[in-house]
Amino acid sequence: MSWLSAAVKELFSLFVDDVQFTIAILVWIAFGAIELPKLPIDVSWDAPLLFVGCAVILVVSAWRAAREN
Amino acid sequence: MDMIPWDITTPSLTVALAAFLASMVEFVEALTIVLAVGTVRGWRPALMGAGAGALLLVALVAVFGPLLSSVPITWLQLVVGILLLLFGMRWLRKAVLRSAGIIAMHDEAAIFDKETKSLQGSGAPIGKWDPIALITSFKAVVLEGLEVIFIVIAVGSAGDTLVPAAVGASAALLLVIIVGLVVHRPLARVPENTLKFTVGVLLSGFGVFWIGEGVGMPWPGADLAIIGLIGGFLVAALLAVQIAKRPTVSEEMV
Repeated sequence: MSWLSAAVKELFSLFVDDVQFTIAILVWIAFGAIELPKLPIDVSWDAPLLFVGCAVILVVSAWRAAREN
Repeated sequence: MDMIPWDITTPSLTVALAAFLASMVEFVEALTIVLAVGTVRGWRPALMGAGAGALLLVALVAVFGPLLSSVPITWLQLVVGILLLLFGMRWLRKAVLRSAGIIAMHDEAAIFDKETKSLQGSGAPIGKWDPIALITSFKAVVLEGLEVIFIVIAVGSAGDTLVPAAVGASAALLLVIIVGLVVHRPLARVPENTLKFTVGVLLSGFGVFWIGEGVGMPWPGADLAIIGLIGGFLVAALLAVQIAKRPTVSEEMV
């Protein structure tokens, strides 16, 4: 069973390293999918804005990690 | 002449490249462990463990692979997109922090030495079947192989480009096996962080693209938006490296 739990842990660690980083991405995806289409902007901006949010999360997360180290 | 199994388009070539580079990172990591097992405990159990691991992976693909076709395409795009984005951005963040010198570089030679010492301290092999060697080799191949399967399915399934993804991963496997046979040492010279940086950029681009497709957001330029997203993530990651490298105000004042 320890081998199975190691495999599950390995699978989980494929997607999650820094928990705050992962949560930020998931929250942004949820916001992007649910709220972006409701904003009073042209629909062609929704997808590029989805990318911009992810890029900002990456830059901010790297900045925070650098500060903490 | 219809010998080419898929249309050579920019997205399918990008998929093949992403699968090739990402799989190479995983195969190199598996090779390091199998080499350590073979060197310390003997090649027979090392190769048998690796072979059994590969068989299990083939069985998993054969059993669960056909289930993919029963999932509605928009759900597949959304779920695969989310997983791909989490996976790609995790690699990208780590590669950014390594490039900025915030965390240590991945070192295959050090991992090989650590694994070798651990195996040497595990007692003498018992009989023809050395369970420690078999299980270590088996585990390495299965765990790294699961990541390869995920990568191939994730980059290939949502856009109906499984063939180029599988070809990319197979080419990486072949290359790592050939180089491993020739050099017989851990592939410490593979620029692991550059590969992870590149793959992180590619997979993040695919991830955001499939999420957008899955929730019905139109992309400017349709499929070609993937190229723009990859370029965008590259710029963001390079910017993140520069920001992470820059000393904080308090450090500058010291």
